[in-house]
Amino acid sequence: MAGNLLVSVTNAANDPDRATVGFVVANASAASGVETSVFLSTEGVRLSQRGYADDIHEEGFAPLRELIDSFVEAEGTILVCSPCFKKRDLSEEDLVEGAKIVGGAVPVELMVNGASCITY
Amino acid sequence: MPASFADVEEMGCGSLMVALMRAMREVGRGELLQVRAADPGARHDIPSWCRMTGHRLLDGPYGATEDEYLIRKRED
Repeated sequence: MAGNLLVSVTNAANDPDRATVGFVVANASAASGVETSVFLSTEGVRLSQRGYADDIHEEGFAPLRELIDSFVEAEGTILVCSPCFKKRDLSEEDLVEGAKIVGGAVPVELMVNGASCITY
Repeated sequence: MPASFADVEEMGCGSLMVALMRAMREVGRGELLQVRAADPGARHDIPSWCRMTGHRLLDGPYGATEDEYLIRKRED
């Protein structure tokens, strides 16, 4: 199917409901064959760190760790905002599988080329 | 040809789509997958998923509790 989706996730343990639902929607998209990227920015970049999401399990949803893993399994891409990442002194060595650090050009390029965007 | 069967129970939203994706991987091209999906959103989500992925929804919801679906996997 044509088209792609950018899911902007701006929260982590500070708001597990938003962080979780962002990945739920990203899973729905990727598992439906839509080219899907999650863009982690501001507090959301913490989700890029291995082990960080292990204790986040919002009631009524699958554990966040499982949602991130199934998103990568469904060939989703995780983009991590570079300045947000550096500001928080996070570690490139601890990036979860499939995550890559990018500047603003990558998500902007996706959107100007037609990707729809939803933010959590 | 008998259909493969997947009972995804109450899974909904993203979890339902991932479960369908995984179940369909085990089905040959052009073959059938029978799904039981009890989430109330499934009756809208499964037809939408089929339109996006190119698989063909042959029937559903049907059955005593109207939570079964029959899908033919795309040929290509």
